[in-house]
Amino acid sequence: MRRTRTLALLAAALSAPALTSCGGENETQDEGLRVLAAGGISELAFISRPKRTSVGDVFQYTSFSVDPKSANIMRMRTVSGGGEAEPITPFGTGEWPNADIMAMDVSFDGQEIVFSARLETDATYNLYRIKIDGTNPEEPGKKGPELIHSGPYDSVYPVYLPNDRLFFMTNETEQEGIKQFRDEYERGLTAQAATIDKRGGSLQFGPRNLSHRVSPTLVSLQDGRGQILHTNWDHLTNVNEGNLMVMNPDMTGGAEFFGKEGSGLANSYLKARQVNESQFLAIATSRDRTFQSGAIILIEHGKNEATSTAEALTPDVPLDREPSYDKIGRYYDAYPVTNDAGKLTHVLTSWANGPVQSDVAAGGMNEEGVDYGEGAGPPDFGIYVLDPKTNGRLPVYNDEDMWDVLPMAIGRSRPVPTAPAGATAQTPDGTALIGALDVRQSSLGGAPADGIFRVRVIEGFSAEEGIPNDFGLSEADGALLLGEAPVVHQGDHSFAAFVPEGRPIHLQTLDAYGMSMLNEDRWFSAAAGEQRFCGGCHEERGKTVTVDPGLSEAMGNGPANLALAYADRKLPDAETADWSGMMGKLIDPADPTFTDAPRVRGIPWDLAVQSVLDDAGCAAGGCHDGAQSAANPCVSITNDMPAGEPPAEPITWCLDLRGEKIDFTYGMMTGNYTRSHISMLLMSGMTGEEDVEIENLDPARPYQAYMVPQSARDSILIKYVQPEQVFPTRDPSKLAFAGELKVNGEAYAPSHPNESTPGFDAATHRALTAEEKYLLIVAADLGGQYYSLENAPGQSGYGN
Amino acid sequence: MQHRNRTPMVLGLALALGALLPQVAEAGKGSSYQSIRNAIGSNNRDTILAEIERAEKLPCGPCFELVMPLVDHADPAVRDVAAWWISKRAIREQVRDDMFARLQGSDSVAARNAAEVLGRFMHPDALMPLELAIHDDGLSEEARAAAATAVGTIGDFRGKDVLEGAVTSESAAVRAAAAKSLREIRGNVDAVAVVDLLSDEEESVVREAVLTVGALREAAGLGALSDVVRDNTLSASVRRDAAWALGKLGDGAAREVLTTVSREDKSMLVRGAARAALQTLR
Repeated sequence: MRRTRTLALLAAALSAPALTSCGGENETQDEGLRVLAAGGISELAFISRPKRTSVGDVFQYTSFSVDPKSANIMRMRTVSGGGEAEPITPFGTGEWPNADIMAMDVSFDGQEIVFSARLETDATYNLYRIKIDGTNPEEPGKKGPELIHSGPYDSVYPVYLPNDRLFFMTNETEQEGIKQFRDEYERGLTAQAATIDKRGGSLQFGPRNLSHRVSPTLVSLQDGRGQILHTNWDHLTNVNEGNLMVMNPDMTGGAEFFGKEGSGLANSYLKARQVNESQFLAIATSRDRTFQSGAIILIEHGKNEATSTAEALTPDVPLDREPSYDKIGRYYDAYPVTNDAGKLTHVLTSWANGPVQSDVAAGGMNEEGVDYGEGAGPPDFGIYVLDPKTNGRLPVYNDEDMWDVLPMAIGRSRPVPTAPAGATAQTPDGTALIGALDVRQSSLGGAPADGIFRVRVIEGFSAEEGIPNDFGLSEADGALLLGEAPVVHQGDHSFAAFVPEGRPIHLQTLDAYGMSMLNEDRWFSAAAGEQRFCGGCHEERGKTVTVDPGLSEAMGNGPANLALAYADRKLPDAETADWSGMMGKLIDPADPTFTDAPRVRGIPWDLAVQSVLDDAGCAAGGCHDGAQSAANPCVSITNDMPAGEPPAEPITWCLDLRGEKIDFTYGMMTGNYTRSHISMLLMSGMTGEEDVEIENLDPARPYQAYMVPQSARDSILIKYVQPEQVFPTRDPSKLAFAGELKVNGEAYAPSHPNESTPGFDAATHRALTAEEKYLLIVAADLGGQYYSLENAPGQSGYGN
Repeated sequence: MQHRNRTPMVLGLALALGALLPQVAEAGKGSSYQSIRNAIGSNNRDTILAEIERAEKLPCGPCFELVMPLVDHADPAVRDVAAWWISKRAIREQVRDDMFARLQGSDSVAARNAAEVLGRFMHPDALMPLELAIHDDGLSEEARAAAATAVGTIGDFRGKDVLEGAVTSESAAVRAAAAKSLREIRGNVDAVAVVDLLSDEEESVVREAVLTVGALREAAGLGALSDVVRDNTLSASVRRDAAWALGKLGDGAAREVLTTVSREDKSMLVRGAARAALQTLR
């Protein structure tokens, strides 16, 4: 049955008067079908699933509803005046229960569909295949889908690959007993890459991101090279974006595609589709509240992100999470309709009129005080053909009870791309090889070009490791230091390292003091035996399509082996560890003084950082002890309260480097951390907060950002302690911040404390050693976390 | 010395070029007392969740009074985000003690919510009170099952013993929740304790036992799974899961039964699962 909502028709009529002035509903509908037929689409399929209000977030992949009826995949002809939409899948009929269907893909020959559905009797989404005539591919002639992958995990976003394989996203992990990453912010189990034989065998898991990956599609790049284009949630410290990335069909070779480096238009891009060799459609929108819909953009893909551009084909549609407008609405997806030359002529799309925003849909007052009354209800996505030149929409199909989404051509074949595999290398068991030919090469403007001595490799983890939802006042995820690989600084400036397979890592280039110079704020990972060698650090990839690591001096010297077995990621006996010795070994592994020191992993604040502060007497002898004094800048923190509410009591906080945890006075304000942690991270933690008044009690002694997550260089604490040169050789006479001025205009002293420091007592206070300074640098550059695996709460018995 | 971090550069450019560049979203920033109050007033789940998430680290003492009542909200997702927000504050310990008291009380809804809060707190200090609640006949089955679920959410390996003690509960809801939670325990690689549940009289329990035996590849479950997959008194979805679990075990000894099921089971769903499982046998 073909149904077209009057409102949608009205919207189309108003936005495309030339089309609708010629006739009524059926005529405009038939016109849409004729456009599709002219574009070579004789049949299309789409998902018809119940409307809902619970799926505002673009990374939400488990929203479920079968109310008022089951979802199904529908089939519709476009030629000969079109036809009624008929279900391909049987859900809600006969022996088949109601189901929700969240994504699908069409086979290369156009005769089969793979989809992800959750039956109402189930708790998870599973993978199925079905012929477009509704029969089972493995039971010829019998109606119904073939179940190919199930279990107590969600298997979503399936995509056909060459060689009878399927790509999909799953929250299953490869090994029992290891929990899937759980995003500490959104709290969802993360969706990760996997492939499987189309009959259900040979399941393989890809290297993992620390957050979700969603909305994949198979595209064909240069020379027919198949790549999986998908949305990657880049969520690292203050970065929170959904960008487009590609990977090989074997899940190796992940690389940026669009959206990073300031090349994009919005916060998130999803549901990308290939138009031709260089152009791609995608939906651009906010991360949340927009029902995974937004503006349609046309991406012109350049040599890399920095040279890629995008044009909004629907410029009136908001790119943020604000409500859209009547007759403007938002688009859920975009499937290209092209001419014989491969140029985009129209877009087959799902569109809903109105705000298409979750606040408005649900009603009530939003957080900014706008009252949406009873609410508009969920948006109503229907199938349309969009003319990108006029933004006129021709209606094709709409069931008012359902979201009619993700239309795709069926019944026609498409070329099968090749399935390139990532470069491989001889690596120790469980590791991959990473490196760069020249760390000075970068497409990032202003990136360091010299003085790079090491590359720091940091592994990420999240709350699934038993750290209760928070790693400290920092926004950073859990971090452990895999190690620091040397850069051939007197040669070709290359580096190479073996790193654990499949675990999310990010990199920093280090200066002569061990401080991060360039912090790559994106996670990446590599498969076992994979070789991920770049020309530079974020170099222009168009310059280095192929690199030969064998040519690098770092490979000639032998890669640094940063392998670390999963079970060994936590330092045993961290309570009694020699943290200075560990840092000494990190700085110079050949130094015999530190031969017996264990390897650095996490930096547990209360054990490692606090031991430095305590041993140097920082909080002793009337110094940084939280008392309001010359040594301790103080701030007053007050929450602005709305009219009618009693004013909030100001909270005063003074610099305090003691190791005691805070008392209840501050318990509603912040986490259960030591005073030193709160003191160091307080200011960076409050950056960006609204309606919080922060007043320095003594403007001449302002409270400062003593530790800036992932930037030791910008941390006031580090400036005070004056890191000394450690690379390429130790030289205590060369100081990182010599001559740099403090906020009061005085230069930072060569050491702190020193004999001229007020209150200095040589019996109590001392300057830090090079190893202690390095520990503070590492703590800051890792992210300023309080918790690591070593001090996860409750690990040494109930109640601690 | 040249140096820079990427994020400040991007932020700087964004400020300079305004709307020409993408939104730079910061996780957990930009909330306020007022906006939290408005969001809660909307009673819109998505609005509440988004705003509480934005208030992740907001230093706001008065906000506690706004968020705390949400642990008893009708919507589980709202209860969860409230517990998540509270868990990031030192007052967590006081709330934890209040939740412990709830578990010992007679109000089963309050106890259920308390179990959920303690699960979200993810601290093993709640394992013992949750264990007591699991076996507390004075609480509803729902509350006791929530306690077993919370043990899995915490995921601490010491919770394995708690759950293995719960799989013998007289309550089917508790047995099912315990069986399910066992596959959530970090480092747990065996499901011996739930093998007996594969012949449980309650189908919901059998289903969770099947899934846990499969997820943990418990070889001791092979024989019982072979019975489940052929048991036509069980629903098709349980037989399907049993076929999946046999595939996970990968033992070639299941080939014959899976082959038979792939041809003869009355359900296409089960036949498909059996065919897929056959692809994975050694």
